Amino acid sequence: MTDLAGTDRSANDRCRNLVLVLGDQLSFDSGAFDGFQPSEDRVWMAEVDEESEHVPSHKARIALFLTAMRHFAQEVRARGWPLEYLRLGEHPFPSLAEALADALRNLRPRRLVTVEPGDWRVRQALAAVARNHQTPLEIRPDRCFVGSTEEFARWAAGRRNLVQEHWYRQLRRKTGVLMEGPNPVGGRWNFDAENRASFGPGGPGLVPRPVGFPADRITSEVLGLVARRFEGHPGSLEGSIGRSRAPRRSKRSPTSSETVCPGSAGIKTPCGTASRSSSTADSRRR
Amino acid sequence: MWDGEPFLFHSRLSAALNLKLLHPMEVVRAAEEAYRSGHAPLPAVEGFIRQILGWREYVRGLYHLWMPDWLSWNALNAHRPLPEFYWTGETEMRCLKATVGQTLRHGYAHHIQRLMVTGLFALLLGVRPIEVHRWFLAIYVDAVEWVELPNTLGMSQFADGGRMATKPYAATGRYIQRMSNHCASCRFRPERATGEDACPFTALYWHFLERNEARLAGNPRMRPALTNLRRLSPDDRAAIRRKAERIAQGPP
Ligand SMILES: Cc1cc2nc3c(=O)[nH]c(=O)nc-3n(C[C@H](O)[C@H](O)[C@H](O)COP(=O)(O)OP(=O)(O)OC[C@H]3O[C@@H](n4cnc5c(N)ncnc54)[C@H](O)[C@@H]3O)c2cc1C
Ligand code: SF4
Repeated sequence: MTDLAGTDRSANDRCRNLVLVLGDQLSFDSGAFDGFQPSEDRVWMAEVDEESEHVPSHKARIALFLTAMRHFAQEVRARGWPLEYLRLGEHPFPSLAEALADALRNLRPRRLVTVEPGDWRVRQALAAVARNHQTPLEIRPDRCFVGSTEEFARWAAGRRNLVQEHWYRQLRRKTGVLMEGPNPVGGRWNFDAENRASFGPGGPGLVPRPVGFPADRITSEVLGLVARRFEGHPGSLEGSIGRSRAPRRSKRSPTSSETVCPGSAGIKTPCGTASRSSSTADSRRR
Repeated sequence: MWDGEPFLFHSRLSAALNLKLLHPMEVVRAAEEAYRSGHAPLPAVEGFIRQILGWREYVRGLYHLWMPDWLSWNALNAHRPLPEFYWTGETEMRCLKATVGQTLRHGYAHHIQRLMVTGLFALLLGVRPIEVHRWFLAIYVDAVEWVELPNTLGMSQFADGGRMATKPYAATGRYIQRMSNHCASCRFRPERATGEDACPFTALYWHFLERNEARLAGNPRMRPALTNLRRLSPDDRAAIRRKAERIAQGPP
């Protein structure tokens, strides 16, 4: 009995699903978490140099991904979900594939679960690692898009020209956005002609200031890490400094010292203290 | 485009969308609501929604359909290296200095800067598509391959020979002059294709058409441009060719 129980336990200790979350899949509504059981499953995330170095990434790009991942990890922990998170500089693996191979060896999950990677190279690498470790890989559709890849492939099949306008209309119909029954609001699908004017000699006039957020502890740490570890990479981290909220006249130079995340205005996550995911997490915390 | 205005009226939502911190339908519904409640005019709202529901979803579909082949296409047979100034911003060309400068500073440039300044110059110069792709993937905070690659190799560099875009986005410095105030403070003249103060875009534009004349001749949308090319005298064409080749040796 003890012996049997012992064997059983070691088999049961194997996690059921290892849920791999990539740096561009930071949504709790992700299909990766469908059926997630904290008692059986585990979330896995890793920061690796390869993702910043396969092309020599801008420092701000690296910082954005890392701080967003760390904020997400914080939410995962706050939900009480088991999480394996590899921080840059604290593990020996240069690439996602090597880090994952190690995780598969140690955790021996019954299945590796993820949503469709947005990078063909990463998808190939994951598939190869899973194959080498005889771990079934389940790739789930990415719900963070309006149309699925299958839907697109069906649409594309048998068309000679794949025209953006046609796919767009299909998604307008599917979602009902700017639709009145079967017809587009305003009687037209396309207002491109009205949207091509130049500023003229007077320039753009009043330009709204980008919204800024002060860097929190996580972001400050990441900025330090990136400045040290990726010193030789292009771009600056200081460009994220400046600007308060009031609209300003074109040409006047910015003041103040808030952190602006140029790629994510209005979003309180990667740069901010009050992260968007924390508010969603609050309302849905289990 | 306007000197000193890196963001203008753009939403800067791409990074949050691409990391999935924000769902595209949240953005689209908010824009639709702005129209329905009378806060924004229909053309502006439709144009914005089209970028997300249209372009963004479309390039993602194409990416998954055509990878990995897309990486190997080089329909215009372009083989020059990417100029060094893409990584430093050190160039006399005002529009490029502004665009690359803000890119290095903020990790951001808006669509017309990417398509009609940095992308356009690489297209006209004939830079190897894969090098252009690597730059765009490295340098913007919103860069993830499924969205960056189709925009770069398909829309901007025409490396897929028109599978995605119906014609190359080729233009002279006059386009940039019309759409910005950069030329006013530039040492080059957007209307000139030859001479000391010729705008490199303009010289390279004619050279681009000449190099690709046979490849583009079957494209009805290129007919007006090619007709203009054929109107140039042999002497003008030779002078432009010399100028363009000098620029290609070491872009100013
Ligand atoms: C050569 C080149 C490379 C590009 N690389 C990227 C990239 O790596 N990542 C990226 O997100 N976009 C890329 N784009 C598309 C576009 O330039 C950016 O999405 C846009 O500039 C982001 O700024 P914004 O959020 O202020 O956009 P806005 O002008 O405010 O537009 C709103 C949203 O629409 C979407 N959008 C707009 N244009 C496009 C487009 N052509 N394709 C897909 N989505 C679009 C974006 O999600 C954007 O946030 C590229 C364009 C070109 C020409
Ligand atoms: S003159 Fe030519 S190089 Fe100078 S800003 Fe205008 S388009 Fe750019």
